[in-house]
Amino acid sequence: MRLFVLLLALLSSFAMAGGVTPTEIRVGSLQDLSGPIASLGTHFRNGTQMRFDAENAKGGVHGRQLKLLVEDTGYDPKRAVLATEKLLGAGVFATIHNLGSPVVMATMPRFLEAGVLHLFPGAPLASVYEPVHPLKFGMSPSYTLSVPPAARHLIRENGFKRVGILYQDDDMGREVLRGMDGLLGELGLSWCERTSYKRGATDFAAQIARLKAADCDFVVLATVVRETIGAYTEARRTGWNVPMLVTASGYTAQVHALGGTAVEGLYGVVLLPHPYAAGANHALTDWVVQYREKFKVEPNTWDVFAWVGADLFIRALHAVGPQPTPQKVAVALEKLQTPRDFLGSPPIAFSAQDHLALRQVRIAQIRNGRWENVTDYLSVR
Amino acid sequence: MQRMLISALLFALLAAPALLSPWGLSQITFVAIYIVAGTGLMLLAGSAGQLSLCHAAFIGVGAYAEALLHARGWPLPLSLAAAALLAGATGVLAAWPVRKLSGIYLAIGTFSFGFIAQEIFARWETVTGGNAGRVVAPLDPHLLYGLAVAAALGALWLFGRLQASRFGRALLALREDATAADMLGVAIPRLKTLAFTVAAALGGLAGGLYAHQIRFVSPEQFDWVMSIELLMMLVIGGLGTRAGIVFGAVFLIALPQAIALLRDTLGWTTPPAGIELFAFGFVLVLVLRWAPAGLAGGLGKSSSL
Repeated sequence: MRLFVLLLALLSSFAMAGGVTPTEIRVGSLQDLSGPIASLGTHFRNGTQMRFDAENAKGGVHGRQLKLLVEDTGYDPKRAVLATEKLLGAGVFATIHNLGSPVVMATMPRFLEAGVLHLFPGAPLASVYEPVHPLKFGMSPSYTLSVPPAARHLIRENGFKRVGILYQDDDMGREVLRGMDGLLGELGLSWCERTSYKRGATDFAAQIARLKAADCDFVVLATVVRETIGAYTEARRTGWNVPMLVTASGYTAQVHALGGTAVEGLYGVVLLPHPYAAGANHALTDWVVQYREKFKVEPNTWDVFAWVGADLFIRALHAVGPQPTPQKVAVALEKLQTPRDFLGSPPIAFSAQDHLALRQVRIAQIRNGRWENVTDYLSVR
Repeated sequence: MQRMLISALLFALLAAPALLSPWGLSQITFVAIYIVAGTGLMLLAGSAGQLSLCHAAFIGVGAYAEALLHARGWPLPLSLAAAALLAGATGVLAAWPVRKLSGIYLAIGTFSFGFIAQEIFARWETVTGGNAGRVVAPLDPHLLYGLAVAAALGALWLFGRLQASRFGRALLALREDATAADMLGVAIPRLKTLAFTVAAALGGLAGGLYAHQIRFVSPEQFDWVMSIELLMMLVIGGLGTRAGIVFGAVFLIALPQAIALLRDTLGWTTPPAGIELFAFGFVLVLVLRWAPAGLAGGLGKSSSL
């Protein structure tokens, strides 16, 4: 009997975690490649694939090739649930960069229950890193966390007293409001004006007129791409040059590509920088050139997200040696300390109590048709 | 022959939990849930020829009701029944403003109702959790499978019974010629209200099961896309027929999965983005080209829809 138990223990120590074979490590990813945020999904997939390919070209991790299994959910939780079960059936070691809040909310518990590492989903939800679960790690802070440090900096630096906000009337807007409510309380200020719009709105004349009539000296935009351009240009069109700060959802090259000179001067919250090739360091230029050759499109900030996330995972995999388990990799991630990299991402460190990667934001401003950093990384408390 | 086929199918459904992977079982569960929802809509759109574009609202009401009641510890049969009843009541509400409308006006009226319902899901934060949604406790997958399959079989049985009843014949009369039906003494507004109520109750039951299957409810899930998807499912399957509901649901759920499997066998490292959707659309066009009356041979072009 004792021998049997010993044998069993020995066998189980050799048995490999799901998704790991002698030659490969399988990683699943639920992307939106055909739905409302497919423009993000393709980049999340590309950035991850590029980092995996680079590692595989060097011989993989401890001799194993990294295999990315991408399933298209079309932002539909029904398809996401089926894709999750398909991936779990095929055996995956980890799932990375799953995209879209409803997709992540429906599938995260299923992955965790199956003992699969749930890494860096593309959903600005606090629940992807809090409460701490041994197997779940988040990349981006919620809007409640990410907006106040940038706003605090600009308000203090410029002595703004009359803060207004234009927010999308949904979850994102509410999160920004909540964060800003806290900040204004801390600074002893109160809202000068709050105004909202429905998702999909194209005309912001009324909202801008309200903010202007209230004589705000600083406006926070909890908006996405089109609304950011709409609101900012409306203000400038009416001759109102109030400084405006857009959340991380508006920090994209699309804003200046579509908005042109009309969006000059707009501030944005940066989580990870947009990879501009012009004026970049050698490593970044090479990266951009490689990316273009591989995918025939221009890389953007989502590729940087995906690349950085995949890089963290690979570093942790290297650290645990030739017999990886999700638990071992999770512990390795907690001990990881990465320096700033060539893409311009901040140093990243997790701990046993903190599974959120980006605890810093910086501020950029559109100058001469591109986002220029105007501060270094500011800590997110 | 048909009897044998049905027995074989029932046997397969009984054996499925033992034989299939969770992925396969989940697909059947989804198909069953969509059959329940589709049966309700088939009564309206297929039997009665009433173009309703707010079915997702009924599913949503059922899903939220189940999420809430289950969280409060209601036993499953009770909470699911309550979900169906509440959705049925919503059906009465939805029917009231549109009961005298038909054609495009009915479509617009129901479409608007869908928007209002979605807005309420998003606004009534204390109950629904707003845009952030609400997490739903999981059920044992085998139990959920059993419930969904039983509900689907029950719904299909009910559909057959209703079609053969006075109510069903009145619906057919309404579809073929509303004026003639009116002349024959069919009280159309009342009939429509009843049809909406039954359809909504079935939608609500489907929603209750759906909530457990997805394990998360949020307003954006119950938008007009879901309503259109259900209508498309019935057209593909064959409007007005019982088999059409089943074929349509299998097509809607299983085809994308089959396409994804086929994609896997091609061995692409990075398949073109959206290739699955493209393939789905392509098959859809082929089906409509070669079987315009749907897979089960429904009303087709002669339909008043």
